[in-house]
Amino acid sequence: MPAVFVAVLFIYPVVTLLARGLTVDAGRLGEVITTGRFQRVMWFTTWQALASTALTAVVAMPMTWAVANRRFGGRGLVRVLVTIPFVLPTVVVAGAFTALVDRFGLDSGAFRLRHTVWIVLLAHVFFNVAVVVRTVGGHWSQLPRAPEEAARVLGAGQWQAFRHATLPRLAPAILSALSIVFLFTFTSFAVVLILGGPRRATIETEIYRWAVTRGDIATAAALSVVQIAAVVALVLANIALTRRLASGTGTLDDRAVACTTGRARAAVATAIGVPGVLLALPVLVLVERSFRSGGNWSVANYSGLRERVRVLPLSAVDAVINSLLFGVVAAAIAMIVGGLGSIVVVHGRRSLSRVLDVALLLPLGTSAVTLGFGILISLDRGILDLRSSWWIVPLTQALIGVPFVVRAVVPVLRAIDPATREAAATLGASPMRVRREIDLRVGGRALVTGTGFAFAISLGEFGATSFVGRDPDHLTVPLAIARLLGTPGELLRGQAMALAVILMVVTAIVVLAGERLQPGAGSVL
Amino acid sequence: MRITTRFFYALFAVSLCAAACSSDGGADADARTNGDTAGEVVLAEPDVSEAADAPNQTFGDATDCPTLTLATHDSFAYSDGLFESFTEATCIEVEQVAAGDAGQMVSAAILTQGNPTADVMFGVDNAFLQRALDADLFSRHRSPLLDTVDSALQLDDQNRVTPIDFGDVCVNYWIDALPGDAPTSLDDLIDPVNADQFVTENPETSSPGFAFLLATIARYGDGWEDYWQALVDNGVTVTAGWEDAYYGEFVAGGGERSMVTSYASSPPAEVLFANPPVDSPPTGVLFDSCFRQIEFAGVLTGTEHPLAAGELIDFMLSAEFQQDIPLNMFVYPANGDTELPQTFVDFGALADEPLILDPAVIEANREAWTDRWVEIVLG
Amino acid sequence: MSTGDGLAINEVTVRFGDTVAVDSVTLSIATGSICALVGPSGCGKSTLLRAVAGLVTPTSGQIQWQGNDLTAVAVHRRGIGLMFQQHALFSHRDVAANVGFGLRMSGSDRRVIDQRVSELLAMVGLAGFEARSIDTLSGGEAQRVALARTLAPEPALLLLDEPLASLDRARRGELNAELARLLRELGQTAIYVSHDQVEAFAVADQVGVMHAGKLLRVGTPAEVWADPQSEVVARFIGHETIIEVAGCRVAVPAKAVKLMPRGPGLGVGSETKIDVVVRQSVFAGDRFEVQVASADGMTYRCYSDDDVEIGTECLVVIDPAACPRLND
Repeated sequence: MPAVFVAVLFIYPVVTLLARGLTVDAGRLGEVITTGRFQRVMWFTTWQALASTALTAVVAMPMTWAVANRRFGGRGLVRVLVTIPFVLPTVVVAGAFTALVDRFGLDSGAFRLRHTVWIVLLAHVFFNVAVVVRTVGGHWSQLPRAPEEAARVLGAGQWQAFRHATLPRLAPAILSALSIVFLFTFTSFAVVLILGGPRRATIETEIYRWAVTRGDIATAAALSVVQIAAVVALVLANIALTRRLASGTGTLDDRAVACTTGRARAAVATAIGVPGVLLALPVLVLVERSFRSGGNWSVANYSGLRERVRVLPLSAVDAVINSLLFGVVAAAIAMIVGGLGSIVVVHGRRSLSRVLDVALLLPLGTSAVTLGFGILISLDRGILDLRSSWWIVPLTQALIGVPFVVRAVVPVLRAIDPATREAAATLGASPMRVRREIDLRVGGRALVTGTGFAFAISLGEFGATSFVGRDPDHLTVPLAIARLLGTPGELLRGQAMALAVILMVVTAIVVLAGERLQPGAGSVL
Repeated sequence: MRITTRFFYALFAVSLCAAACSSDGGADADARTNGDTAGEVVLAEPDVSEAADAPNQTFGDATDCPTLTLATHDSFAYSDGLFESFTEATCIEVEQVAAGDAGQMVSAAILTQGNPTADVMFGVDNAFLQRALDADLFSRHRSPLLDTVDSALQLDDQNRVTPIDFGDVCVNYWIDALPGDAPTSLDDLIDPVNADQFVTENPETSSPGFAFLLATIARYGDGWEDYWQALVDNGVTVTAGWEDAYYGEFVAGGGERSMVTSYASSPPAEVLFANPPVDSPPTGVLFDSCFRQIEFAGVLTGTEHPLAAGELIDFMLSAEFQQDIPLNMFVYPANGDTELPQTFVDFGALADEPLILDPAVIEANREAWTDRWVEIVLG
Repeated sequence: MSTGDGLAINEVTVRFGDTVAVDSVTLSIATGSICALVGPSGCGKSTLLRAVAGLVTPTSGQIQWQGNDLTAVAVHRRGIGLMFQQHALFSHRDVAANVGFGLRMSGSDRRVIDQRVSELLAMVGLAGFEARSIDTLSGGEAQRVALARTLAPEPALLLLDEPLASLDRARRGELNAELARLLRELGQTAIYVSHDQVEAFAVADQVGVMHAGKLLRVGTPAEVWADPQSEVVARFIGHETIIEVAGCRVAVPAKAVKLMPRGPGLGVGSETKIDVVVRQSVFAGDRFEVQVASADGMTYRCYSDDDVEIGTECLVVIDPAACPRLND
C-alpha cells in the first residue's frame, strides 16, 4: 500500500512529465549539462546544501543532546517549538530575516548579510534545526545508557564515551535526519530566491525558471532528470551507510535524567539557549510586527482578522480552520503510509524493502514543479483524475511528509532487539499484534515526530500544490498571508503578520497535543 | 500485515471515490470522461455567442445546468455571492479554482491542453498571451459586450480571449522619503540624485519585474540595454518578487529605498488599507514608467460546455462583475461603461499614454531579452 | 516415540543456507518432565529450541505435541512459552504490563490479568514490583520478571534458552535451584537449554548433549554421567581425563582415582597404576580436591582426606570398573 501510494502519486506523474519533456527534445539533456551556467548552478546547489546540512548539525546537536538526555521543565515544549519555523511561509520568514539584518546593520559593510549565501545558510538552519532535534533526539532518548557507562568505567572521558559508545549507535538516526536536511536544502526554492538575491540560482529555481517563466518543458525535464539522478545517488549512499551502521541495541522508554547540579543546569541552558536565540529572533520580530498597528502597540491586527478582509475570499478564521483540516488529513495520510512503509522497509522482503526505502524518500528531493506539473498531466483520467479534487492537496503534501515519518521511524524499529518481537510472538501475539504491541509502541514516539512534520509541512504549504487548482473556499493560512502581502497597505501587512503568529501558535498547540496523545508520552513532556 | 494492507486498499479506494465525486457530482464527472469530442466539434464553429443568446438553450451536452470550473490565478478575488445572480439567470453553476500565479497557471494549462482542468480561464495577461494562443489553449468566443471595451485592450483579433481588466505596472515612490523632487520620467531614475533609491523585481521571477523591463524596451527600443546599464550604475537593486521589493527594500516595509516597481493602483490600496486611516496616499506614481497589463479570459479548448463557458465570459464583462473588480483586485474594469469607486477616482490613476508591446513581439524576444538583462544587471 | 504423550521431535533438520544448524535430531520429552539440552555454543541447541517454539521453520522433520503436528502452527498459536537468553523484556512497558502481556494477547479480562500478575510476581519473589520500569531492574529481578511473563499464559511447554546466561556467576546457583523448584512445583514440561552442564544437571530429569547439530546422547543425568558413550560428550559433561586402558578409551572421573604414596612393594608401570606429581590441592569442605599430573602430561583429579603438598611424588590407582567406556 505505501508502494501503491508512491507509485500513483509520485513515480507515475514524474515519469510522465519527464517522458513528455524528453520526447520534445531528447538531446536537451546533453546540451543542458554541458553549459557553464548549469555547472555553476549544480555546484552552488550542492555546496550550499552540504554547508547548510553541516551547519544545521552543528547548531542542532547541543540542543538535541539536552532534549534527549536531560529532564527539565519545558523539555517537551522545546521539541514542539523548534517545529514552528517549518510552518512559516518563506516570504514572512524572509521578511523577518531582512528586518533582523537591518536592525543589526548587517545590510551593508564588512558583515553584510543581505543577499549573501550566509543568510541563505542561516535561513536553512532556521528551517531545519527541528529535523535534527526531533528525529535524532527521539532516537537518542531511547538509547540504553549501559554502553556509555561501560566506556566511562573503562576510563573514557565524557567526550570519548560519546564518541565511541553513543555516536556509533546514534549514527543511523543522525544520517537519516541529515539526509532529509540535505534533500530539503538541495531543493530549496523560496529561501534561495528571496534571501539569496537574484544572482543565486539552485537547480530548483532553474527548473522553475525554465518550466514556468520560459515555458520550456524540455529543458526543465532535462534539469529534473539531473536533479533526480543526483538525489537517487545520494539517497542510495545514505541508505547503504545507514544499513551498515544499524544494529539492534535495544530501546529504552526514556533515558533522560534530571539536572542535579548547577553546572548541569547551566549546560542545558547553554545548549538550548544559544541555538534557541537564532530560532527565536526572527519569530520574535514577527510577533513584534504583529502587535504594531499604526505606529502603536495594539491587538488591532488580530481583532481585524475576525471579519473577512476584502482581498481574501474567506475570513482568516476560516483559513485557519482550513489549514488545520488539510494539515490533519495530510498528517494522517503520512502517518499511515509512512508507518506501514517503515514496517515494510524494516521487515519486508529485501528487494521490496530497498526499493521502497529509496522511493519513499525521493519526493523530498524532487522539484515541486516537476511533481506539480506531473500530477496535472498524468492523473487526468477516470478515477485518478484528482486534479480538481481537494484530496490532491493533502495527498501531495503527505507525499512530502512520508519521508519524515519513515526516516524517524526506521532507525528506531531497526534498534528493536528481534528477541523482543519473538518474545511477544511466543506469548501469543499474532504477527499483526506484534507490530502493534512492539513496533508501534516503541516506534510510536518517532511516528508522532514524523507525523508532526507532515502536519507542519501541510500548514506551511508545499510548492507542488500551488500548481493544482483549488477552490477558494479552501483558502489556507499561507495562501491568505500571500494574498494579504500581495496588496499594498499597512493594514493588510499587519494582519498578515498576525495571521502568521496565529499559525505558529495553532501549530504549536496541535503538535503538542499530538505528542501528548501518543502512547507513553508522559515522560517526554 | 496482510489485514492492514487490505484495509488500507479499501480506505484508499473509498477516498479516491470520494475525491472523484466531490468535485462536481457523479453525472458530470462521467460526462467529462466520456465525451472528449464534444468540445472539438463546437470549436469548429467560428462564433458560438449567437447560439448563447437564444433563450432556454441547452449547453451542448446532456446536462441542462452544467457546473463550470473557472481557473484563475491566486490573486483573483471577488465579493461574496458575485456568481449567484449569474447562476440564477442561466442556471449555470460556477466553481472557481486558483492555480498559482499567472505564469504557473498558463504553463499548467499548456501541459493539460485538450484535457483541461477547467472550462474557462481568467488571468492570462499580455506578457503570456502569445504563448497561450500559440498553444491553442482557447476556443473562439465573441462577447456581445466587447463593444464596450476600448479597442486598445483587444489584442486578439480572432476573439480567442476577451479582455476583462487592465492596470498599469509603474514605478511608485514614497513621497516623504524622496531625496529630491518627485520623479517624472524614466530618465529621473538614472539621475545621480536618486542613486541607490530604486528597487525593482527580477523579470525572470516576477510579473511586475518583467513588465518594467518591457516598459524600458517599449520606451528606449534598442537603447534599453544602455538604460539598464545606467540603472545599475545608479545603484538599482533587484529582488525576486514584489513582496520582498515592496515590503523588504522599499520604505513601506521599513526598507530604505524610496522607489519601487509596483502598480498604478497601489496608492489607492495604501489609502484603503491604511493604518491609521489617511486622507491621501503616502505614495505617488511615476506615470512615464507605466506598462499596461491587460488580463484576459478565454474558453479553454476541450471543455465539455463551450456554450455555457461563453456565457460566463459574457458575465465577466457585464456591469455586475466589472464593478466588483477594482476594490477586490486593484485593477481597472475593461468594460468602459463601468462606474469606478471613489477611491479609484480620487487616487487611482492610469497613465494617459501607457507603454505597451505586441504580445507576439514579447513572446518572440522573451528569452533573448531576459538573458541579456541577466548579463547586464546580474553580471 | 509417537505415543502422543508430551513433545516428540522426529528427525528435525534445520539448515541456514549451507550450514546445518540442527542435524536430524530425534527427541521425546514426557509431559511433566524437564529436559536439559546442553552443548557448547553454536552446537544447535538454541536453534532446536527456536524450531520447537516456531521461530524457525525446520527444513525437514516433524515436531509433535501430544500427538498433534505443530509444524504448520504459527508461533503465537502454539501455546509454547519461551524464556529468552537476554530476557527480551519490553522495556517500553512496566513490569506488570510485561508479565500480563500473554494474558492480554489471549484476551483475558483486565481484572483477571491484574490478579494473575500479582500472583506470579509474588511467586517469583517480586511482590509489589508491578509499576516498576524495566530499566530499573537488576539482572536477577529481570530474570524473574521474564520467568513470570513466560509462565503467565500457562504454556503447555516451557522453553528456557540459557535463562541464567546474563547473570553473574554468584547468583546463578541460587536462582537455578529456585527455578528448578518452581518448575517441579508447577509440574511444568520444559526444555532447558544451557552451555553449563552443572546447571542443566541440577534442573533436568533428562539431559541431551548436542554437538555440531547432532544430538549425541540422551538420558537421565546419572545415566549420561555414568555412560557418556562418546569422548565429545564425556568432555563436555566434565570428564577432564580420558585415557586408554586395555585398548579402550575411558573417561576417568575423580571418584575412580585413588591417590597413594609411592613406596616399595607396589609395582610401577602397571596398567592401572601411574606415577604422578601433585600440582594443586584445594580445600573443598570435607575433603581436598587434588590435581596431579603424570610424566606424559595427563592430569587427573582425585579426592584426598588430607592436604597434600604440591610437588609431592605419588601414585594414582585407577579403578577401571568406575570408568565409563567410550565408543570412539
